[in-house]
Amino acid sequence: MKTNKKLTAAVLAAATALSLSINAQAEYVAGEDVTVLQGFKPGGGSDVLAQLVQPYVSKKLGVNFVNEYIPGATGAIAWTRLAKQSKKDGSVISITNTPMLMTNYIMNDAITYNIRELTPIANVVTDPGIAVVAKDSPYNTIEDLLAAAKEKPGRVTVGNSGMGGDDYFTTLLIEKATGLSFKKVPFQGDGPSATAAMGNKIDVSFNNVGTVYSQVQNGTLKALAVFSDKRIDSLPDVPTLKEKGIDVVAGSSRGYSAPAGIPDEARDQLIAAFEALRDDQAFLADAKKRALNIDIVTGDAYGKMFENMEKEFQGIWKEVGTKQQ
Amino acid sequence: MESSIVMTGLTNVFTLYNIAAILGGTLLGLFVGAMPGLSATMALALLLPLTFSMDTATGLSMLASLYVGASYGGSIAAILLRTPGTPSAAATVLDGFPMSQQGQAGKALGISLFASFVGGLISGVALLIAAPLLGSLVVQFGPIELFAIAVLGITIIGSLAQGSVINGLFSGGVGLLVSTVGMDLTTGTPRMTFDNINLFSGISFTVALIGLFSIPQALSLVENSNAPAKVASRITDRLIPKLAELKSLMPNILRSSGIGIVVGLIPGTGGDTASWFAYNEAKRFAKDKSRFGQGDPAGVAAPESANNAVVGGALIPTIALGIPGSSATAILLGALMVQGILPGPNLLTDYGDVTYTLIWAVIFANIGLLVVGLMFTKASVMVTRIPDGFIACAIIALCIIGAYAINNSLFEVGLMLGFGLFGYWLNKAGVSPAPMVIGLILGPVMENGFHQSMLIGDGDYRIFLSSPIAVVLLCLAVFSVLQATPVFRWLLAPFRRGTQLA
Amino acid sequence: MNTNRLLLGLFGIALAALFFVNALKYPQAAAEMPLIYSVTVALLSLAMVASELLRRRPASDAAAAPAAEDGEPVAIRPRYLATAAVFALAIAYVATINTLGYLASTVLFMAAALLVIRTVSVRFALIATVVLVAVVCVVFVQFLGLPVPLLPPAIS
Repeated sequence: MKTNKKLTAAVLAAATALSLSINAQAEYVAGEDVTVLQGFKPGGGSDVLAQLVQPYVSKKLGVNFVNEYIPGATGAIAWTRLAKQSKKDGSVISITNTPMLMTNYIMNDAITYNIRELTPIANVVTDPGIAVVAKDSPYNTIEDLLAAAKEKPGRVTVGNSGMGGDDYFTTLLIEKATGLSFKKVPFQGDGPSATAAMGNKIDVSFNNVGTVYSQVQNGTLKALAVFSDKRIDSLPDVPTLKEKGIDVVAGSSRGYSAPAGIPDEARDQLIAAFEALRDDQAFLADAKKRALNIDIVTGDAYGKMFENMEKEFQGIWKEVGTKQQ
Repeated sequence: MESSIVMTGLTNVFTLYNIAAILGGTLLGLFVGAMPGLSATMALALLLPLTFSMDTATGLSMLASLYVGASYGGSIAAILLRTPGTPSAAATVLDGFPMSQQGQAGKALGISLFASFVGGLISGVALLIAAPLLGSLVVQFGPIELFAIAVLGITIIGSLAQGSVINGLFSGGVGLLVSTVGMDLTTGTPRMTFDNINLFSGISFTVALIGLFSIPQALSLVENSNAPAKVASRITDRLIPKLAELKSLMPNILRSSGIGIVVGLIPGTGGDTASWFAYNEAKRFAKDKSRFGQGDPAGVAAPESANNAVVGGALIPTIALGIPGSSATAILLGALMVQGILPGPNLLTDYGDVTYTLIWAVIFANIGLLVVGLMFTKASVMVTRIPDGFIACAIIALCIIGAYAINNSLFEVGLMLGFGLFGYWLNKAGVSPAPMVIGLILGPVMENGFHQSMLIGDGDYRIFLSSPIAVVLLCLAVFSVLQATPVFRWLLAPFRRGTQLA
Repeated sequence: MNTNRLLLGLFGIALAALFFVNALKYPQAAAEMPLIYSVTVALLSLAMVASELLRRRPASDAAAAPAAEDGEPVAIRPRYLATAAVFALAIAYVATINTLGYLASTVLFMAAALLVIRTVSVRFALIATVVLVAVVCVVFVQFLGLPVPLLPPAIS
């Protein structure tokens, strides 16, 4: 009888240990449901990221993601809510788009959150900037465009996605690096900016690769240059600005962040889940299919990315931003 | 156009699953459209995540059918309850409600359904046959042309003024003024936001429309709840319009469908704008203009066929170039992108099967609309038996949840109530809120177009004359304004006298 | 004379002035349109006020119109107090959605508003309200996933 009891006890202990370990693997410390605040409308760029990434991460983390769309003020409403009004237990995160995240409060004193009130988790995609022109445009290379800008300073029209958007700041960076000046024409987003370029209504549009990729592929738009560190695999014939001697690397990035002060365990689990995406072949293939450029930067490195961007944009805004057109 | 892909799309549509999705989507669209306070764009945004689990073609078909159904559904509330169910049915209220007050509610609904069906079908066929061709027209519309369209649209404000011109212009002016709230496009300056980030993106015109049209109606019902129930709002006449009546309305319907397709084509303008343009043109070409606003069937047929034609029209640039023609198609585009289908000219070639299934779905959704619409309308007739007092409360409750659903913002619900109060005041003062809504919609289009054009033209006003399309539109605008003033009658007077003598 | 129209005109002038004064602070490009619009609205409001003052009509109350047009000999008194009450209830409804949860605040609103209006039978009111709330919840919250707190945060 004693042996039986001992056996039963041992089996029970083993079973408990086994089940505990299985649970511990798949259990997120903050619970089963994680709310993702999205600062932009459903179907937009942030949503595209969410639909790509969340199915994979939810499996790794063992949680159910619930998207909450709170558009307005270029994401500021959602991010203010994240930083100031959300639970700090790791059950609420948000998709953070840069440079919008910083430029919102750099440009506007009424916006009260800042990057120190957030815990950066991981960046997932980086959409490099690209200069596109109409297919029948007189400009065939980026040199043509820069020469034109030199000839008639302030007259070459450059479309961007709006004041304070990534393309606007990219234009400022390029102006600073080349000493040239362009006429900046704002549009309501990358889409309208690309459309205007297509119809030759503006000379060039500084846009993002993700938005204009299919148009460049079938010739409706000509790509003059990409603003990335190295040439992009999907557009091997398009030179980078760096190659041409202009040291500008710019684009827009999207990742995830949580409010500051979430428990370390939650933070570590989240970061680990995103790190695991790096080697997930199915995920990478899926991203490639959607022409999304994966650029996973997690935890402290993502935080550094934020700080560098904040400094860069603060500098530029102080120099140029206050003199309006 | 490869006929094999076209046929594949056709056969795809005919699966049981797809047909169910189309009928379901149309019914949901009718329901959402018919409820005051709920709009098609909002329902599409909510339905979008649900379609992710479906097969792409089915999900898209369901979304498109919802759009089709809602474009008609809005007129049901407009005609029976005097509040537009969707923004694109605001123009339908002007003649639809008077018709129902004269005991012709059934006729109004029937004409609306039929006009919606024809408009939608024509635009669906245009989409099928001419998408790439018409699509290339889209890129011709840049800031200069958009400015011209907005100016043309704003001249409608003057002609909408029934009665006092001052009232109409005042309403339009306030709309234009309020449209400047928010961060301005060119400089990013927050205007009239009082440091409230909820106002940074401006005032959503859907919120204003719900407040301006629906709340005052609900409050009026409460105000007059001492009066005996009006028998005139019961539907005593037949729903299906007579053939002769339809034939006489056909030129109007065809013209309005054309307007709907073109306006839908242009990115940045949708059903709300198209319905006003069509209404205006119907009034311009009507023999007896005075009947407009008193219950003229043409005033119901025009906006309804236009707003349904916008569905196909807005899908043309979406499919041909990956540029959304209206806010609802922007969501459809998002649905495509999320599925990994990159929008662009390659939609018709690389993803032909999905795209053509979508196009056929739009065509069949319109046919489904006729069938489902008839039954749904007959059912919604029962709404007129509900006591006014309850309808008032229900409208308010629906407006509140509807305004919330647009951007998940309680601030906007509060804003909606604020507009509601203002709309009630306008009512009492005898001023129509319709011009204000037009000002709200077109104000930003005009201002942004103006600033962008000036940047492109380097500050030279002659830039507006550089585009033939813009010149034509601006001349039309000037013509519109003159036609409303005595100048015109004075110019034509000698001719009229001549014919009288002859 | 339509007092409402007169007051509206005065309000228009005030609104235009507010926009105008604020617009003066903006940089040039941002200020153009608001300045133009506010001047236009101010002029139109003045025209409205002027036309109202010049129109010396006998003091027949325009608000009693609906019943009068029907040819009813009995003047139907418009229920302004009820209207104001219902509007106030609507504001209260919005204020309590987050604290009481959507279900509770909607039901309370409908009940209170219908009580004020009084022309609807209790049985109908009860059934219809339940149907309305049920439909909204099923279609929007359940099916379409609208993130509105159904139950008060205290319970959920």
